[in-house]
Amino acid sequence: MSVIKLLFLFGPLFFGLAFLAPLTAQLIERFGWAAPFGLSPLQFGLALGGLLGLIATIRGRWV
Amino acid sequence: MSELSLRAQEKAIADRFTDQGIPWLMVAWGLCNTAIWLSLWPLVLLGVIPLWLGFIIATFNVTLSYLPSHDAQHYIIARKGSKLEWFNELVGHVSLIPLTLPFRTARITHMEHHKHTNDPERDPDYATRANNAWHAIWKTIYNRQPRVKGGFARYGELLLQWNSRASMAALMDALLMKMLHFGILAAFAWNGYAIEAALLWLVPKHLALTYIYFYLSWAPHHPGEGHGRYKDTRAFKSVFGNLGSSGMQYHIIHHLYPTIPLHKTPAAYRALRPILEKQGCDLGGL
Repeated sequence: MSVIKLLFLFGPLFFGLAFLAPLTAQLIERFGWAAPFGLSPLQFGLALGGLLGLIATIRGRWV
Repeated sequence: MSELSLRAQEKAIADRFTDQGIPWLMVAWGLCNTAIWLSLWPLVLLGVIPLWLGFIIATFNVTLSYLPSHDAQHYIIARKGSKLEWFNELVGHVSLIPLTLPFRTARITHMEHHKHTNDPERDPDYATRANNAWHAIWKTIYNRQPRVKGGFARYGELLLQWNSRASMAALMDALLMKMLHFGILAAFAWNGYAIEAALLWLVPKHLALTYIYFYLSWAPHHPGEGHGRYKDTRAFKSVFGNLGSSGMQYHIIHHLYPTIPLHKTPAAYRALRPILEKQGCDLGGL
């Protein structure tokens, strides 16, 4: 049970990396935007998804 | 008229609306709704229908997925112990797939909601209590945040507390469902279908949960302070009418007689209204 609790504790971070990252990359490609700082869409997606997930993990809230 | 004869009269009227065979409307609703939602995936991914249309249909599908299972939770589709109990369970399980709420988890927590309606400690749905409609919408969103103990998280906490064989099985179902949902979303996302997965499942699910918690939980129990048979649930008039509120205007009937099928509650309400008035129920001008 403690492993499951740990997984859930870091759930937002996993979600950020596993879902928000490719979602961000695909949105950038779909709308023909350019990722900032010379990053590829996926690199930017991983940075943004990871950051949002980390913030949600620390705060315990997305909003 | 004495309290006892009023109750006997009430039960005699309610009995007219129960045990009328399989409610095929709810069966068709539950099974077809899930089938339509599943069919959206190939239709959208193969470009047969546009994503925006798939998103709108999916949002309706996920929102509509709870109520057929709710009838199944109460063994309305087929009685417990009857030959067709398996069919009741099938409808319950299948109809909830789009919402990713396991049937056993929904049933055990819902039965406790009926037993302890509006009890801050024991009602699994108490976290939806709010001061007004806007506050209720905010609460449904707030309750879904990762470390907030409301919504499905409150279900998990209570299932652990109850610590029975049934509650642990329901908790396991919930954990598996959550991991499966997450895994499927991630698999679609890393295979180039993140936008499709978001608009066919993730976003519709959150919109649906906002609606479901608002209309199926908050509105019929507002202000969430009454206790007892005639006080813990109310009738109310919805600006979106009976269909728009998923029949919840008459939810008081469901709490008094949980085996009356959803689509019979308006007629049962009209028949029982004079008695409910005498019992001092909040009928909200309905």
